[in-house]
Parts: sequence; structure tokens; C-alpha cells
Amino acid sequence: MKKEEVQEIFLKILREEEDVSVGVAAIKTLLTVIENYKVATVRELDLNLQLAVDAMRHCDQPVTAISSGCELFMRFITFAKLDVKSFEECEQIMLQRGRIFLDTLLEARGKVAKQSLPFISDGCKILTHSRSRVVLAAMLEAVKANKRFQVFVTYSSPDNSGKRMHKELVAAGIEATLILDSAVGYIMEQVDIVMIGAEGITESGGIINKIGTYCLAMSASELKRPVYVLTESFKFSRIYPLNQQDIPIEFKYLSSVIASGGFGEATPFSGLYTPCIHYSTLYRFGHFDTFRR
Amino acid sequence: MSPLEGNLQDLDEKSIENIVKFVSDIRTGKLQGSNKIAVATVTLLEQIITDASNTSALFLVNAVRATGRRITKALPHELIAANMVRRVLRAIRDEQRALANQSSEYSGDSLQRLVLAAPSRRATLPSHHDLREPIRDHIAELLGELEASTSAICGQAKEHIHTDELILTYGSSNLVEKFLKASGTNKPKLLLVEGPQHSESAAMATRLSSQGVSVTLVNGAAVGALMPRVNKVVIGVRSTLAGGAVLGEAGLLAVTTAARHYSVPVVVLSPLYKLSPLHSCDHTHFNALAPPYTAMPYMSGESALTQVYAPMCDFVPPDHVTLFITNLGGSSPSYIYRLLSELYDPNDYQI
Amino acid sequence: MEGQHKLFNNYLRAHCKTKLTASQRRRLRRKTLKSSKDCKSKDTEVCNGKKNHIVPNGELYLNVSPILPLNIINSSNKIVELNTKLCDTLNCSSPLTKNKIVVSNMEPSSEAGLSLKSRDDVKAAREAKKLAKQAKKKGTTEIQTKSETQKLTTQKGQDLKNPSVDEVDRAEKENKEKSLHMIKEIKSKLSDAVVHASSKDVSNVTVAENLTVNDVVNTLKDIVNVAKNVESVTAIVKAMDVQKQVKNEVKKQTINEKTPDVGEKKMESDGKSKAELKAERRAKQEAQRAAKQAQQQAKEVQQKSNVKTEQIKEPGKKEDVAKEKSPKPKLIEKKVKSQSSQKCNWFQHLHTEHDKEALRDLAINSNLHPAVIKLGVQLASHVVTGSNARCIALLDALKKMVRDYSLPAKTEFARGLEAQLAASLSFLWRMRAPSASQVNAIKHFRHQLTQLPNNVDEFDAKKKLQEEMDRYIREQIDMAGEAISIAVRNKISNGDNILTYGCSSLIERILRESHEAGVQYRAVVVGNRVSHSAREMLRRLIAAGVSCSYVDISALSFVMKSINKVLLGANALLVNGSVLGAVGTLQAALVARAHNVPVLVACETHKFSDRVQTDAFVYNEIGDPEALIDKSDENSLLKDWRSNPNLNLLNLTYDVTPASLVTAVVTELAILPCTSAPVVLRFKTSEYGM
Repeated sequence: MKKEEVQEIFLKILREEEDVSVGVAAIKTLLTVIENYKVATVRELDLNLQLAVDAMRHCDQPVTAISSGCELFMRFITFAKLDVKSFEECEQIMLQRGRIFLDTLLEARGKVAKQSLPFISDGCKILTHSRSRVVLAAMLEAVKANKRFQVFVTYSSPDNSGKRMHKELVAAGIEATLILDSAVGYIMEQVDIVMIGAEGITESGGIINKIGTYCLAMSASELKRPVYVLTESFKFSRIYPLNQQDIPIEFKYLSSVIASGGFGEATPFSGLYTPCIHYSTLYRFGHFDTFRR
Repeated sequence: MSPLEGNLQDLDEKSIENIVKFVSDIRTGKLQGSNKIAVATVTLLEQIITDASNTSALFLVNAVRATGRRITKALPHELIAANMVRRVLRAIRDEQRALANQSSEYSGDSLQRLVLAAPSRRATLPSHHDLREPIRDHIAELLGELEASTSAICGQAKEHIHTDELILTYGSSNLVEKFLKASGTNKPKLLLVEGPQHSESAAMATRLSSQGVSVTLVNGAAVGALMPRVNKVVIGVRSTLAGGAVLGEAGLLAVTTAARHYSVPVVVLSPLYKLSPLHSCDHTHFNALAPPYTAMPYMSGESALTQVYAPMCDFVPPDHVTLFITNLGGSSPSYIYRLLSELYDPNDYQI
Repeated sequence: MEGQHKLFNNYLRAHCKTKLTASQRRRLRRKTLKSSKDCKSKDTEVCNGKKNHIVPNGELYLNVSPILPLNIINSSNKIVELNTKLCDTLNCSSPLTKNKIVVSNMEPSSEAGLSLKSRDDVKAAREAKKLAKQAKKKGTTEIQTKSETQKLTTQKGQDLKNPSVDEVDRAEKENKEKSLHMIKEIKSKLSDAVVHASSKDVSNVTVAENLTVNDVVNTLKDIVNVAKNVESVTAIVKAMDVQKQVKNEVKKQTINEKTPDVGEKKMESDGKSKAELKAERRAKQEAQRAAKQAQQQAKEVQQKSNVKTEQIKEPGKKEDVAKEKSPKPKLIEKKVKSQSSQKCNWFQHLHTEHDKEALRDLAINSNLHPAVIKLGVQLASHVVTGSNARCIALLDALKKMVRDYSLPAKTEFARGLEAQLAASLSFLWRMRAPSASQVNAIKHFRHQLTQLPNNVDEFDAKKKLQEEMDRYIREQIDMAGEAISIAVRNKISNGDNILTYGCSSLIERILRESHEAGVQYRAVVVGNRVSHSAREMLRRLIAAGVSCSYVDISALSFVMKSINKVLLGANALLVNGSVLGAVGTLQAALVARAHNVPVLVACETHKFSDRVQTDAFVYNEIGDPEALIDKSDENSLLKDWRSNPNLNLLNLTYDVTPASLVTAVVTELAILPCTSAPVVLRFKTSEYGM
């Protein structure tokens, strides 16, 4: 099994399924790896999967979700004692479990969106940052429930993903406004709630998200606006960063940037946001129970 | 079984009658006091279970859930009744799982459960088992817990109240009264702030002072002025919400804001039956307006030309509360979610 | 006049071995007159009723100074106190006479340890020693005189209607003799005491003093009993009232226990003649002054040693009780539920027992202008409330006082008026503690008074003062209010919800004028159950046509979400930037801050005070605790809260909002941050030269 092959599968999945999140795509890739690349022992399978994960990390996609999702997947499929005779049976069991896991994950976004419905009240103004599929799903769900609300989206440079979010919102019929990243402090007194997604959730209770989230959350806390983070629970990671510098580099920068070595002065792609220390108005939605805590 | 599945069956006549009587008792005020309401709900549910024609778990769950829906529709602000319905549902589910030999430690679709129960996730319930007996045992346990909750909380009084401490409490609460009386030899000084129901506060003040507790009664407007001298704020609440937020009497937010400003710890006495798994998304969600004459009497001339509001509840966010005292001991607001997961099944959060 | 002289001469002859020549007598008289005048001018507070003219010659004074060269201050103070108490008894015992023997002390308050070595003193000392010797010999005669006077008084009682001058004179003479005997005895005993006291052993001193004091107490009691009987004929209620009030003050400050106090007494007037009434009044004033001295000395004594004061207090107390003369003393258990011991000790330093009976115990001073008295009553009963209203009412009353003030001869206008002003103010502040606006107004008035040229014509001066006061009101209150109103109007936008707490004339003006100017907004008035000021505000706003809502203070967090601005009034702005306002203002500011709603405080610069306060405990006013009881509920459980030792009702009047919670203060000068208050204060002081 070659690295490039895994990457190809991975990117293919991402290309073909528009709406799939990176973590889900990664898990799908791993499943495909198990299915397609036959091995003889568990150890070999393990190695294969690790190689695959490593390959996916170098794909210029947000690594946080990949790493946490894959880790969970691995834990899940190797959870119980596999006290079976042959390796094929073992493999079959793993595959089965993997598929269950995947199924559950695919439902996750819908569940989160439904759960967040009561928090979007009629006539409220929501501020969101960059593009998050979960937040989008939640808003679409609210539209389906005939709620009228207004959304402010930040441009979120450098990749202007907020623009894409804005387009999608307008297409769904939601009143959306695009604002500068720096205009967050100005607009904060007009909004009622802040809703953001997350790349990853750390052990300390903080979230890792697109750069600019920290400032947004700080100003929301100062003006006493509630901040809601919508996330599926496979994004729970085991890292415990103490400050911004303590986050692993690959979480912060795209792999290409790291490879080129030019990240010394650049600002990271994703930053850390620690609600537990600063902000108390964080409500976390998880699809699953937080059995990690 | 998710709550959105399964048919909502119609309850039989007798059950509906019982429910109607229960609701009207609460509405007319015959049934007052949170503990009494909780006990009455549980007794009602026990009755319904006993009268159920089919004794399978599925049937019972549906019956109880139907009752719950009726009650919440009729009394949307009685969170305690809804909590008791959830408790009974949880009891039924526990029994069902125990019968099906599954571990009931982790409720809900946790990953571990998924793994362990992989083949048969949707439990096919053995319908020939009569679950009523064990459920009745559970209910008896529950009733016992309800009765003991007050004494369990008051037993912790001595740890938290010390001699010559100035304790502030707001409005009138039977639980706080008993808590203070239970402090025994530690004689605190009490500052009782009038709530919107000033006659209740006055009654509580006279009762406590005749018991030997030194009480100073002040008007609700003086809370901010007196807060610098207060050592602790001890309050009773209507209900504790998910996340550690609290629903209390109107004016409670002003008290806790002042306490926070002067860094005075706020202790909330909350027996487990008051723990509700709901979020108050919109802070006025669980609020209701009381009749406005409590704010301004009808006889005054201005009342014809003004709008008078008198809300009943106040929402207090979790960062204002320092400590929750429950039957099981003290806990911080961030731990409430754990207690909730032990008490209720996540499927039942929305009845 | 003749009779007086005769009596005086008789007295002198009876008790002096050496005859005083006429010139000596004159000198004596002059000296005593001078000293008594000094004493009087010092105690203007007590002797308010006195007009500022020299005491007529008809009255003769005998100085009895502390005879003994005392080094020990304690005992001397006590002796002086005893002396003054003795004087009181003497005065009371002989009220009818025009020529009373007024025993006044040479050293009123602080110089108790020193004795003025004046000629009179030495003479008096010599006389006293002789009297003492005589008294020792004539121990039994005392009893005889007592019985005689008793017979007399019974006789007198029968001849109530027509007391003949002779009888009066005789009775009086005998009283005088007896009292002088008493004085001699006391002095002898005191001399013994001092001899004992001069020994260095303090404990011995106390013991010895105890003994002698007790003896003194007994003799005093005897005097008192006799005097009581005499008095029963001509009960002077007013004098007693005054004394009682003064004693009450003494008690309140020195005795912190429950003391039974005698309540009302019945007025008994038995057709006294004008002169008698005048004499009564004099006696009462003297008693006031003496009692005031006694009170001051009692304070000092207490400060020095508690043990000793205990002893003194006892005889003092007993004396007081005995002295409260009335045929049927109605002992009303004064509900001195002092708020010490079990109850809220936090406000002990401001403890003003809100007692409606205090209103009845007014020092009925005929010299206060009726407008001032009326204002005092209005303030005490909270008819006039609100910072601006109190200030304007005060200036109004002062204007009337100035207008009707009649300048006595040979007095400078400023000084005379100052005295009158001081008297009026002390009365008013006793009724209710002054607000910052009133304090500043008085400062300004006093400043104007000092600016008057020395030899100004009375009419001109009065005119100028009245003009100044009018100008003050016009500039500081009216025009300032207008400026503030305009400034705030710019901050209110259409569609706003403005929240206000309690009642403030300035806020009402702002809201009314904004409404008249066409700004569309909604006012939310927040009140509390105890004070009805918010409803008053609501009434005024509705009358002005503003659309209003009303909520109780417990609903603050419920309405705050929809509020755009909070507008509060203030009673005073303190130097550290804190706002002193009606109780509940702090709460409104806290909840507003929690919801990020800007808080504006509207306050004219004349309310800027130079006090500092960090919380509501440093200074506050305790309101009527009965207000907490719901009047509409007959079976209120709190009705008998006073009988419950554990229950206490507390009704605060003010609270302090720190500067961090206030967004801005709107004054007529500018919109300022709260912390700029001291700058404005300095500016004002320089402008007004205060």
C-alpha cells in the first residue's frame, strides 16, 4: 500500500461527496483500506492503518479532525477482545463495527442540528465565523422549522471561506450579511448569540478552530453574549494544550506550509480557543455522551 | 427507543381521569410545595402502571410517556412533574435492560454500548415478563428518596453554616428554613430579603425568629447595599437546569449579581428531584407573569394608563452559582450534567 | 426690687460673719453678672430662647466654684456634676421667685480641674468652711427644717389658690437655708473625699468616693423629696420636658441599656402670673444650661473610667427619676429596643431610633421662626423629600427667617443672624440629617453672610441675602436642570426604552421635556414596595403624557433585556466618584451592567459633596421599620416584631453605587465620567470661595 494511493482515495472521497466532513472522509478511507488491502495479521493491519493516517495528514486538509476521528475509529474497532479463531473473522468483525461507527457518525450532524433548534429563536441575530458544515446544517434545520433569523458571517481570511458560507446561506433564503473579521467587536452588541463550529475539542475543554475565533469569543464574553459550539463528538481529541504555543504544529498549519518551512512568521491556520478559562457561556453539543470525561 | 418513535397510545379512561384530577389540584393550589408535587406525580404514575393492561416494557414506557406529555402540556412550568416522569421512565428502562442482561451503567447510545450491544441494539423485549413488581420497587425507592431528600440536605447544614456568619437568603423557601434550623449549635445571623411575595417572607422571618435564629428582614431593594457584609448567600430554587443554571424567584438574578460583584459565595439547595435536563435557551422560556397587582395595586389611579409586569421566575446563569447542595452532597455547577446522566435517560429529555 | 435686696441682705447677714460694704456688694454683683453672661453666651444651643440682651439687675447670682484645689480630674468632674445637679434641684425647688439663687459653675466644660482663684471664690470658700462647721454642730436642725418645710408644703397645698407672698417668702427662705445647709454638708463631705482622694492609691479613692458619693446621694435624695413636695403645687411641665429631653440625649449617648423613662406628664397650670411664668422660663433655661454642662461632664467622666461613671450614673439616674415631678407620673415603658446586642450592629454608629414620639419632644423654643419649625416637621415626617425639594424648602424657610429677623441692639447683623441660623439649623438637622444639597446651600449662604460689609444697613443686607438665595435656586437648580435636560435629550433616541428607578425631580423633568420635544420613547419605572416614590414618579410622568410601564424591583432582570438606557437620579455625588442614591439604585446599576446597558446618572453640581463613602454602611439613614410591614394586611405576622428579641426590621434609605458601574454623570457643565467628580468639586469651591 502506498501513501499516494491512500491520499488519492481520501481526496477522491472529499471531491465526490460535497458535504462530507474531513473526519468522516478519513474514516471512510480507513474502512476502504481495511477492505481493499488484505493483510494476514492484526499487526500488519494496524501498521497499514497508521500509514494511511499519516498519509492523510499530509494532504493539506485540517489535521485535527483527521487525527481525532481516526484515533476514535481505531479504538472503536479494536475495543473488545477479539477472541476469534481466524484473522478473516476478526477482519470481518472490525469491518462491521467500522460500518456501524460510520453510520452513527453520518447521523451525527443531523442530530446536532436538531438539538440546536431551540437555541435559535425567532428574530434573533446570529454571528458565525468562517464556514462550518454543522452550523450550516443547524441553520437549514431552523429554516425548515420556519424560523426567521439574521446571520452575520465573517470573511475569515486567508481563505475567505466565510464567503462560501454566505453564499450557501443566501441560497437557502436566510438573511445573511458578510462582515470583516475586524468588525466583530463592532457588530457584537447587535447580535444575540454566537454560533461556531469546531475542528477539534481538547481535553481541557477548549476548542480548536479557524483563526480569529479567539478574538470573537473574547469580545462575546465581554458583552455577555452566549457562545454555542456545534460539533460532532468524534472531534474530541486527547491533547491538552496549555496555551497557543502548546498545540501540535500540524494542527495549526497546513501540511504544505509546514513542509515548505515557512511557518515561522506566518499566522496559523487554526488557533486555540479556550472557553473553560475565560468564558463561561459555552454550551457544548455532542451527539454522544461525553464518555471521555 | 427514541422518543420520536413508537405510537402515542391513548390512555384508558381511568388514567386520564387521574391525570386531570392531578393537574387541577396543582392549578387550584390544593397541591403546593415542590416535594408534595413530586410525590403526587410519582403516586399518579404508579397508579397508571398498576392499572396498565399490558405489562410489557414497551407498553409501560409508552403509557408513562403519554402521561408525561399530557402533564407537560397542561403544566408547562411544572418542571418537577416532568422530572418525575423521566425518573419513572428511567426506572422502567433499567428494569428492561437488567432483564435483557445488559449493563445499565451507561445509558444512551454511548460508543461502548454500541460496541457491546452491537448485534442487538434495538432491544426486543421479552414480553412475558411482568415488569410491574420490580418497577414498583423502584418507585418505592424513589418515594423514599423524595421523603429523605430534605433531611439529606439539612444534614449537611453544619458543614456550611457557622456561628455568627451572616447568611443572606432571598424570598421564602421551606428548604432554606429547615436548613438553617438544622444548623443546630452553630447560630448564624440571617438576613432575610423580601421576595416578591412579601407575606411569605414575613411568615418565614417570624417562624425562624421564634425558633431562636436572629433574623433581620429587609426590603428587596437593599440587597446591593448590604451585600458587602454578607458571608454567604443560601437560596432555594424552583428548579435546576442543565449546565448548572437555576430558575428561581423573581429578583434572584439581582441578588446573585450583587453576590458575584462582592465575591460572596452563592450556595443553592437543590434536591435531586428539582434537577431538570432542559436548557433554558431563551431565558424567558420557563417564565410566566404573575398577576400585576403584586407590583402595583389595582386601586391606584395610574394603573389604568400603564403596563405593569410582574414576572414569576428569574433565570440565573451557572457562573453565578458557587455550589449546589443536593441529596448526594455538594457539587459544582459544571458537574450537574453528570448527575443528570445518572438520573435520566437521554432519550427522555424530550418527553 | 426692694424685697429682693432685703432677702439678699438677710441671707448675707445670716451666714456671713463679716458684713459686706455696699461697694463690695456692687463689685460682687458685677463680677457675677459678667461671669454668668459669659456662661450664657457659650451655651447658646441650650439657652436658645434667650434674647441677646443683658440680664436685668434683678437677678443675683452667687458663684459657687469648685472650692477645693483639685488635682484629680475625675473627682472634680464628678463634684462639678454633682454641683450642677444640685443647682438643678435648687432651681426647681424655688421656681416662683424672681430672685432665685442660681448656682452656676465658673468652669463650664473642660477646665474642671482648675479652680479660678478669684476673690469671690476665696470668699465663698471661706464662707463655705464656716457653714460646714456650723452644719456639723447643727446636725439636728436639718431634720427640723425639713419637717418644717414639709408642714409648710402641706399648708401650701391647702392654700393652693392663694399663695401669699409672705408664705412664699418664708417657704423660700427656709428652702434656701435648708439647701445651703445641704451645700455645706456636701462640701464638707467632698472635702473629705478629696482629702482621701489626694492619696495616690486609686482604688482607695474609688472606695472612699463611693462611700461619700453614696452619702451625698442620700442627702440629695432628701433634698429632692422636699423639693418634690413643693413642686407638686406648681408643676412646671415645660421645664421638666426640657430637662427630660436633655437628659434623654445624655442617656442615649451614655447609657446603652434599656432604661425606663418617664413619658408624658400632665400639664398643670394653676393660674400663674406672668412674672411667675417668666421666672419659670428662666429657671428652665438655666436648668437646660446646667444639664447641658452635666451632660458634657458626664460624657467626659464616662470616657475616663466606666466603673466610676457607673456609680455616678446611678445617683444621676435616680435623681432624674425622682426629679421628674408630676402628681401622677405615667411611666410609659419607652421601647428602647436599642439595636445593639443581638440585632444589626452594623448601623449602631448611625442609630437613630425612628420614633414618632421624638417629634413631640421638640424643644419648644419660642425663638425659632415658625417657618423653620414647620420645615422641621415636614422633613421629619417625610412630607418634603427629594434632594432638590429639601434644598429649596430650606432656602425658602431661611428667606422667611431673614425677612422677619429683628436685629437686636448693638449686634452686628452678620453675627446675630449667624447665631439665629445656627439655632435653626441645629433644630432642623435634629429633625432629619442634612442632604448634600442642603449642606452646600448653607455653605453658600454663610459665605454670602461673610461677604456682607461690616456696617451694612439691615434692610439692605436682608435684601441682598434674599436675592442671593433666589439666585442660587435659579442658577443651581433651575438652570442646571434645564442644561442637563437638553444634554440627556440628545442621548435619547426614538424608540428607546428608558428605565428609571424611584423618584427624582430632575429625571422627571428630563423625561417630560424630552417628551414635549417630540422624542418617542417608552419609560419603564421601577419601584419598590416600601417607598412609594416610584408611584409618585409614575403619576407625574403619566400626567405629562409619557407612555410608561411599571415594574417592581424584583422584575429588573426581566425587563433589562429590552432596555436601551438607564437613567438614575442621585442624592449626592461623592468625592471618590460614587453615587449616593435611594436604596435600590445599586441593584439597578448592577443588573444594567450585567446586561451591558449604559447607566446615566443625572446630577446637578450643587449636589456634589466632599464626603467619601465606599459602601452603604459608612453613612446611611435608617428609615421607619414599620414601613416594611404590609399595612393592608391586618394579620401581618410582623406586627409585634418589637417584642421578639430575635426579629429585626431594617429599612435603609440610601445606598452607594461605585463609579465602575456608572457609565456617565450628566451635569450642567458637561457629561463626565464618574471619577471626575473631585475635579468639579474643586472648580466649584474656587468659584464660590467656599
